[in-house]
Amino acid sequence: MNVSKPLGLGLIWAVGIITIIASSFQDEETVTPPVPVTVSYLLSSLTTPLARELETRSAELTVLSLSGSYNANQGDRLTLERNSIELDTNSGFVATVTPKTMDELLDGQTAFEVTVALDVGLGHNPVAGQFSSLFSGTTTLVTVTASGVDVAVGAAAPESFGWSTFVAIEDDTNATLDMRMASAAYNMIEVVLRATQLAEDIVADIEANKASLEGMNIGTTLALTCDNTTDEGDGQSRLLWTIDAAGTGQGVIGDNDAFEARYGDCRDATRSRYLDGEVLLDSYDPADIAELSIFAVNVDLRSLFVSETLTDIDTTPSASSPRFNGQLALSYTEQAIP
Amino acid sequence: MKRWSHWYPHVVAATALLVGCAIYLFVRPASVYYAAGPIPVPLGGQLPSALHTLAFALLGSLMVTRHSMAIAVIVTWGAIEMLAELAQHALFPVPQTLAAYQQASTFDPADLISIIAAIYIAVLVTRITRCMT
Repeated sequence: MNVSKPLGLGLIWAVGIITIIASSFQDEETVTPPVPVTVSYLLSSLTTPLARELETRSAELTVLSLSGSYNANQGDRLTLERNSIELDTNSGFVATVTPKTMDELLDGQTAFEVTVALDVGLGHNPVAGQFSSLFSGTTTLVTVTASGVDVAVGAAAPESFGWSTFVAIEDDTNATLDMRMASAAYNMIEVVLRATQLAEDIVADIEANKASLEGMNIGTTLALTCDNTTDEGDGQSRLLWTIDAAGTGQGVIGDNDAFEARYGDCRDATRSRYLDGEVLLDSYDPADIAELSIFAVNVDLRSLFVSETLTDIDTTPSASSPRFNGQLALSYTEQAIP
Repeated sequence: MKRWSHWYPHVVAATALLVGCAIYLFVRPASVYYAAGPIPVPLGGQLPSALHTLAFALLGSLMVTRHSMAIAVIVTWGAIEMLAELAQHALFPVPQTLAAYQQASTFDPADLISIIAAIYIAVLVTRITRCMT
């Protein structure tokens, strides 16, 4: 009797049964399910106030403390680059506006405070919240409505504005100074967000080029690419690892290290802005992906143009090409959701 | 020299195995064999059962010479596949040695239908092949 065929049949069936069992493990969880966390953030002042310079005036922020939180998964990149972030009640700052021309009447200090949680973002108008601006003893209360804002100066009845109108009141010489100051204070949030996201971009560049930077001598420039088209000339972007702090992380990029980013008319396509100037980062505390993470860094903007168009030696700071100065501290902390 | 139609079952079985492997590699992210994707495939959940049944039924049928025996082998293999699928149901009594298999797998009534369809196709392929050779 030929036994090879029954043996072959047995072998085929054995393989078939083994593969049935093996395929049952297709449902096994191979990816650790994401762990939801709350990320608390705080954007705060350092020694030199964060400032925005325009052609007719400059404004600087002191006692800056913008805080809030957002939901994420553990290990996600810690970032405020999202459609909007919610500023907690009591977030605020003092904005000091200094005129640069005799015609500019907006002058003085206002205390900006979020009185009801306010959602803000670049290219995003808040849909909820309220804030106040205390200027020269008068409180201007700005309440977000479905169509824009209701602005009440002191005890006067509120006036309604669309967002674009309210944002532009800062430059409206026919508007009251209280309203102009409230508008100017609100507009400074954009400066904080742009500076924050620029710092985050630099940190992303640092992490993406970690191996290259660690393979170079401290202070050596690493050339990065800009998004300039041929019509826009050669934008320049340079990254330097300037301080390798002593301690356990010495020799590699880690805690308390410092960096410098230099830009020359470098277009950032994501932001549709040109950068020209320098940014220093220090007290670097990189996010740790192993556990609940903390990310922090101090940012120092050195006469940095953040412009909608190419800059040159004659470029005047304006609404479309503001110049940023000063310092800002970023701190993000992941917290377990109980 | 054997006629080309003699190789029909071999070709169909090999193709079914290759496509089945591809589904695990590229379509099912939950699979431990998953490599890339996912590429959406209609019936991606049931196709592997059907393809596995078809391939092993045809390969088994090649081990016997008589047509009636080939059909018997195909139907027997189909029964084994049905039992394996039913054993994935939590209420189906299984010996302790198969407890891990039952826990790790997911019973799907649609798989039973796909197995029946595969057996029907295997019988058809076998009949066509044996008629032509």
